Amino acid sequence: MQGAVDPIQLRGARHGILVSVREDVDFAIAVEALRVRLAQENGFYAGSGVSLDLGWRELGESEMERLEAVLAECGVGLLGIISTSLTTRARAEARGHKAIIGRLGLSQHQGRAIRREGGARPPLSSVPAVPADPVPLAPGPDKDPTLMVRRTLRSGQTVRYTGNVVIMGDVNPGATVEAEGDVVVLGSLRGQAHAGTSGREGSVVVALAMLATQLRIGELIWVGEAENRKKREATPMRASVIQGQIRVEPFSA
Amino acid sequence: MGKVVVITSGKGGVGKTTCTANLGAGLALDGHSVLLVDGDIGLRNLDLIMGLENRIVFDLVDVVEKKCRTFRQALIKDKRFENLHLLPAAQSRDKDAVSPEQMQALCAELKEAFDFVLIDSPAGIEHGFRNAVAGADEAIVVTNPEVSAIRDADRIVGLLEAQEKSNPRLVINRYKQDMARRGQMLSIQDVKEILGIELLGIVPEDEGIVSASNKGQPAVMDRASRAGEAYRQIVARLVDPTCPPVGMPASDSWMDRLRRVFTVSVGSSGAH
Ligand SMILES: Nc1ncnc2c1ncn2[C@@H]1O[C@H](COP(=O)(O)OP(=O)(O)OP(=O)(O)O)[C@@H](O)[C@H]1O
Ligand SMILES: [Mg+2]
Repeated sequence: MQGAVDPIQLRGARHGILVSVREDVDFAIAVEALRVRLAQENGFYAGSGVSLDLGWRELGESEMERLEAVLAECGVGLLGIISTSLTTRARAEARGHKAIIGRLGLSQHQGRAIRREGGARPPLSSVPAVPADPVPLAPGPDKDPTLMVRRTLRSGQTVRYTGNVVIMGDVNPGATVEAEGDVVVLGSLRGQAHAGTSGREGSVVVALAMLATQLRIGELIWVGEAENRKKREATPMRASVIQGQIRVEPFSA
Repeated sequence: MGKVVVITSGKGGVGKTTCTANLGAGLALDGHSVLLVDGDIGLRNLDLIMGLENRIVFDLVDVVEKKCRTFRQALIKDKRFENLHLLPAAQSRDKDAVSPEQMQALCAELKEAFDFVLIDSPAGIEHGFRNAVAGADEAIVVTNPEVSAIRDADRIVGLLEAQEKSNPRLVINRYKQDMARRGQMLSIQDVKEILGIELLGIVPEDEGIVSASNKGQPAVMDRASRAGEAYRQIVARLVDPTCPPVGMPASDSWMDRLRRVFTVSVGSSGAH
């Protein structure tokens, strides 16, 4: 969540190693990082198997080949691909790999490693997205965990989270924030924001400068008029659902 | 020891090669020893703009593959400046002929020998881009003041940040002041606000650029050229970062101030 982030994350799982590949990093950079990581431990990983969690990323044919080549180079087997992208899964399967869907709506790092043996069901030891609330009451929006992103989200970058998201920076055109809870942008919001992705319409989007041309809360979509842009620039605004419609109004706490 | 500066962009055709040629000639004019590296393997054209195309014997890939004894054998000396050299790209090679590690090693060697090593990067975020930035100490992102070019530039800035090439600086090329004033083109302030990176310079739209490039005579050498003047200012800021910007809007919108507040808070909490 800091400025410079590791494009990949390795984690020991019950079956081999689970590698999460960030979705917002250029694939070639991620693969290079993977190669370096697997190679640097002096063959420590050789002979083991990895499951790759690719999240929403749509993998091309040549990218798949490159991935296989890197794993082969490091002597590491591919247990399977975890992806929410149908294309990626189909492509992986076509090349003889095992492919399972990630858990939709959750951050990609919740995937679980794929078993080495085929046939059996995936292990039930999946890690919950966020520590479960000890009080099993329906949690109000205030009980949601909050992800702090201390940088500007740039074109092509995406943040998805199961709670609230606070961006300490801008959300630029071409960038996306999706939160099951609220979205707060301490900067200019010009890209896509979607609050209440799990359908919770009590969620809000707040931005110090609300310059988005489109907002989403739950299932609802708001499209802004260009002529109000200047006004929106000058005041912090909050978007919320009032009587079944998204309203964008000056924010006063 | 010198430094390696990569000139890059997201969108193609925004003026990277022109910028590299002009900054190189400008730095040489200012007395620095300069090497221009054409990082656009397979699509070379820096040599054309410098008017040096028929002198190429060896190229970047030959150097990396050690087809010549030292990199010096592949260098082409500029016709006008003793202290300006070009390391040309291979014309017919595949882009994967060089790896980022090889570029890093090469850049480390080159900056021992020159004050400035300028790398002309290919457009986009593919292999060629990663090679071009691999060995760079600093990055210049070139954009035009249009929505699509800026979005692609933003993407590049994001990738540079992810590679810990922080603080890339921005050159806005082909700026048309009258159009911006009439609201038909994005203003400098608009561009700055979206990208939020330091502005190194603004180069106006200038028809003279095309004929200068065709003649192999960078505009920076022409005292009467408006674009040339802009490149001279960028050169001054490359040499001395404290050199005040000319013709740039003061950065004091409330959004800018706010951004600074957060940048400071990020810096101080960046350890964990
Ligand atoms: N300031 C300017 N005014 C007018 N024309 C310009 C200006 N800068 C560049 N050009 C023209 O724009 C065209 C593209 O420039 P250039 O080749 O430098 O772009 P590039 O970013 O290197 O392109 P590529 O991505 O294909 O490598 C050229 O014809 C050049 O002469
Ligand atoms: Mg070029």
